[in-house]
Amino acid sequence: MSASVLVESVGVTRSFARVGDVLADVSLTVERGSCVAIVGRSGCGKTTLLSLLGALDVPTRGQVLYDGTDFRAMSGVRRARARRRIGVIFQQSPMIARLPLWENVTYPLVPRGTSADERREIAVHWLERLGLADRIGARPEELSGGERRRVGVARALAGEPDLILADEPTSDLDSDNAEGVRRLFEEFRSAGGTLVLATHDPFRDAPDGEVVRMDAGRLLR
Amino acid sequence: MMMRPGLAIARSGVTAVLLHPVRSATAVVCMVAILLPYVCGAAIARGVEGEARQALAAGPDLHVVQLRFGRPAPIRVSMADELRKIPGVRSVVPRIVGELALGTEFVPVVLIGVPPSRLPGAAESASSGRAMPQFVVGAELARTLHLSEGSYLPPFYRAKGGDRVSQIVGVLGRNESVASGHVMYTALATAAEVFDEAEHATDLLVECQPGYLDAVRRKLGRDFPTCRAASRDELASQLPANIRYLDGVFHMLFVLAFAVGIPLLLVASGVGLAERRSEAALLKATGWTTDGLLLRALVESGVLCLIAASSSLILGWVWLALGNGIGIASIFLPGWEFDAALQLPYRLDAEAILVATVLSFCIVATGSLYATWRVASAPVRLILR
Repeated sequence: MSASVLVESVGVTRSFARVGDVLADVSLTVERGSCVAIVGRSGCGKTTLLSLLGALDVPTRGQVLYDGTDFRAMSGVRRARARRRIGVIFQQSPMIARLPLWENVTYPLVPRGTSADERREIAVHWLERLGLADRIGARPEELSGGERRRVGVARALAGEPDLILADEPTSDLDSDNAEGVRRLFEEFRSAGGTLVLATHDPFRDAPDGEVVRMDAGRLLR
Repeated sequence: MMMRPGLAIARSGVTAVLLHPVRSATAVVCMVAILLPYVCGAAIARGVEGEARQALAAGPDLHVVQLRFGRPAPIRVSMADELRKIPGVRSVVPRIVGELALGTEFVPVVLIGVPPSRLPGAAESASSGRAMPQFVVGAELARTLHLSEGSYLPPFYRAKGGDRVSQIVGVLGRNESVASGHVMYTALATAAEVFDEAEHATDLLVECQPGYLDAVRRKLGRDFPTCRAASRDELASQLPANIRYLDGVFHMLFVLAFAVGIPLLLVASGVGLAERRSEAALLKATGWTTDGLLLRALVESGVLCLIAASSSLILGWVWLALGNGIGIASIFLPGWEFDAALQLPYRLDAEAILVATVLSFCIVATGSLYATWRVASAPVRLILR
């Protein structure tokens, strides 16, 4: 494996009891600083692949290597530390209920020992960038789908990750906000960050990225 | 500013209490329901013990009783004169302490007879030899029998001169000791007449001159072998056993509450479990460890236990001090009326607070153990569902 490879799936299969193989023998290499757009129809396995790359799930067969190490070979603590280097933007934008927006954005920084004041500053910075400056004290229950999506983006960026895994990051957003998110991704990449995203519109979301097509759990090159 | 990660996680545990208000409130209510009776019972037991120790401290140096077949028996009042002759004895007071039942409902009464000069303040006139026997009664007894100063009691004992109506010449205040609630004081001769034990008492109260206590005891043991003299310290040493009996009542109740409380808390801590597991999965997905989540849950439990313990102590104080233990004192004090007329003795000291807090933490930690583990061990892929 080249030193420039950040994350890599090697012959990965993911099966579920009633569904069968959702991913079948998928090998994907993502180099540092690159942008990879995974495209394909709904249900083709994009989200499953992202979850394996982010150590949110375990493959049935095959390996997922992060910085050259199989996630499964890592201890729980080391895997958690690896996850801190990965920002995940979930499709469903899950949040912690009743926790103010700024806390939701920076709660992942708590185990890193970041103080509440500093976390608030970080949250304000990213929420301002995403047009949510006036909502920092709002509760998740008070947010629209688009706002939740932008909070998910802010949370992923707040941890200063090496890698962002974004699952349809602009799908709920109007054109202005989608453009804002794309700009942030460009800044992230220009600072050396690596971006892998699942999208239906790679030309809009990742115009200069490598496009990888999926169909029925397999990669089409 | 960077904090130690453990400290930052611990602080997040404090605020986590507010994230699940229903679960937190349910757990606190369960805990208060368990702790409150315990706190009240402990405080009452300590209060009663404190009163008993005060009474002993204010009492005589020696209690002398006659033994017959190894058991206490009536002692001749004339023996008081013999004891007074012992060097170092300052005073000897004969006393009668007996039990009887009054009224059609057979209300239990402790009748105490002492020389008129030793009667409680209001009872100085309660002496024998007058036309009408006179008594001073405890507040609880006065309320139960609807007595007040100046009331008359129909004949309740058979005197040599025939049945006699008695008069109440005083009622003890509600701040008197808890033991005085069902007490009737009267002159020694009247008490002897009530129990038909003329010229006899139940014990002699001996006061010694400073430094003479041991010598008096030795002399008593030598010259009056059928008597037993118990010093203040000996009586005090018997107190904890009696108080422990009282402790035992509520300890038993508490064990029952504990047995019920933990399963109750198990159920309560399961409130919103699915939501908390999803939350834990999200935190793990963003870099939290299982240990971090356990620490957060531990601090959350600690905060809940502190809230529960302090709420129990405050409510306990309100119940005992302002509510006079209405409804609960009667569980722990035999004979105490539901809404007693006496001021309830209680003591909420540092030990009670510490015990309540430790117990609270043990119950919260034990009761929420399963839910805590379920949350902390939530697989990160839960977030994908």
